Amino acid sequence: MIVDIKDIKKRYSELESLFPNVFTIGGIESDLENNPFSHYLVYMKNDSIIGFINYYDIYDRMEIANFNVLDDYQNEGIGNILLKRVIELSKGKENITLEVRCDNVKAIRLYEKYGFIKKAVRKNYYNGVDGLLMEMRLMKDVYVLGIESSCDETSFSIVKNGVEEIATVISSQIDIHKDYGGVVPEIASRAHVKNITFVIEELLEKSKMTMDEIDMVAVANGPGLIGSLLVGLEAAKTIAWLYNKPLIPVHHIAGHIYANNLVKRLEFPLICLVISGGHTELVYMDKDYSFKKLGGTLDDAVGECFDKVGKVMGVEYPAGPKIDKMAKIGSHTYDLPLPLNDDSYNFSFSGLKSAVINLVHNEEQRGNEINKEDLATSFQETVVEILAKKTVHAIVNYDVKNLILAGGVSANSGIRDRMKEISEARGINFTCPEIKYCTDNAAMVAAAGYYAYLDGRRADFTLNAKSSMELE
Amino acid sequence: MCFYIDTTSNYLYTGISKDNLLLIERKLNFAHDLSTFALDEVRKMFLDAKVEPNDIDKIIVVNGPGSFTGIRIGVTIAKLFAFLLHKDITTVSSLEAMNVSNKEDKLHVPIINARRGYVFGAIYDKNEVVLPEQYITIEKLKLILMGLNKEYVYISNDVFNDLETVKYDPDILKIINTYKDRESINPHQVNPTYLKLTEAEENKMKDNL
Repeated sequence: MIVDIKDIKKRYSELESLFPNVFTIGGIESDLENNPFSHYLVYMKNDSIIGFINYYDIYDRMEIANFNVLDDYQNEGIGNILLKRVIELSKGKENITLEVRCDNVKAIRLYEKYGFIKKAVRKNYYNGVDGLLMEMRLMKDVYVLGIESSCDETSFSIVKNGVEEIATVISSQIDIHKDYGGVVPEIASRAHVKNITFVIEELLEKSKMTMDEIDMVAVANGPGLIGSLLVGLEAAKTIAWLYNKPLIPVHHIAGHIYANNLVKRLEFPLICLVISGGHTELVYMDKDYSFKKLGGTLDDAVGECFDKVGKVMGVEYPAGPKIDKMAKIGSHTYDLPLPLNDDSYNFSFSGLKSAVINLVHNEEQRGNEINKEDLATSFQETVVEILAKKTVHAIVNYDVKNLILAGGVSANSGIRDRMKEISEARGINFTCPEIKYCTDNAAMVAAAGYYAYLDGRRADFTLNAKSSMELE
Repeated sequence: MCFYIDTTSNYLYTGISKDNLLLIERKLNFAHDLSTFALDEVRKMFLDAKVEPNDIDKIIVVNGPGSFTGIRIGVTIAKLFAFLLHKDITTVSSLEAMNVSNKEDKLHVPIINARRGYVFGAIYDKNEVVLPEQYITIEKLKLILMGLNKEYVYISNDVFNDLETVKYDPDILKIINTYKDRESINPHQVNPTYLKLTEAEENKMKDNL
């Protein structure tokens, strides 16, 4: 029978004398007085104490401080019973840690049986004997609820262990914004509020899960349109509050990068080319959720450039996919400058955009008709050329064996094909997200959220959204 | 138990009532940080009152008019709360809440500054609507009031150069008691009342005329 020693107060000294050399000066009584986290469970047989476990219950984790069974009662499974009780008491916590002598093979075997893993060795921790730090992670399968509302997509998703998509729902507003030639922030914010519970309802139906079964809530809290971000953020905070789940802030671009993790587990070090309507960046990663921005656009993002060029050519918003289609038909006949053709990792697309606009106007003035397909090809190939050049530069300088693409524009077939070619030519691995997850979605946020969580990132309920924030 | 939340201005007004008694309330001015602190303050209020979200039977959310971003914060919190925990929910207009809270025996004219000479306003005689809530110029509102030929009081949290207003201090218990039996709405249908289209929509309508 297991009892808490507080319930048999007068027997502190009995326990102390049964296990000499185990307790510090002042003994159990002083420990319980001074350490609010400390608890002692004792195993009783016929009213005698024959074993005990001392653990610290520290908010979202547990630590086993001391654990012993009398020599005469070893091999009776009493250690198992005591350890199991502490594991049961740890339900809902992150982990249980403990320190054990490296030469205590029997104890180590017991811990390993219950799923503890050797994490680190502390030299000479026990007067000449090394100490072994062991950890048991309690959430074996981690289900992350991802929330994404940075721009004009309301999306919720559940991803298991950062790699396995359970279900995703994306409500796109593209048909609304099409009429305005681009995303109107206030209209987007209004649509998010209208859509949000429908999206959640569909997700719960699709996943056949309940909110209680979610382990944590990951939300893209920036960068993006502030009004849009705030709807997703308030939803995330509300769910985290109502269901008492940890809240994990995720950088929107980290999300895009982790869309690749749903295709194939990321391998490091890697170079990622992030290309979207708001971003054009080269990012270096040497481990999970660790980002080093090598360079980015000095003016327009590449997706923005596609939209603006599309406007001049009379192509409906969003122009990217349509230009990509036209580029397959035409041929590269128009001469366009390679923008910011230098050794930096930076990009510039406003000059290229102006060059296209001037070209169209000049031809119109001369009464020449523009061959739209040829212009699309010339423009797209120029974009691909400069993206490829800077990406190769980063691959070579950082000596990486892995290249990944991320962001909405990574759906562009010209860019995909070229990046694949580059990688094959150098014998390195290349991954790009599934087409459906190139644009904004919550599956990528949930995947990234898992690694942000493992990296120890947490937010409290005063988390705010930011329209611009650095990837770090 | 009833949970009340209003984030339509710079203020968070929230409270919990039980059997005709106000258990707890919060009236906090957050200026531009409402989105940062609103949910956390609600959470702390529940803790202080020792009330679990599941103990709530009905949610009353103020769904505008007011600050567009502000409205969305309260409505998002309230509709998720109602949807996820299967709670009854109903909406109250910010102007209705302002009307109910004032005790003066005059016509009540709650107004919210909508800039460029416009307000979101309405006219109430006790709980009877004299002028339905609308986006209206101050000048036009003044003319209507003149025509009514009754004593009136402007109620507002905003400051107007040429109008004398009485500060809005919500009587949360009275608002709850007035509206707690209002018919519940499907949480999916709980949405902000902006009383004004976005500029992009207005311009598009002009183009189409």
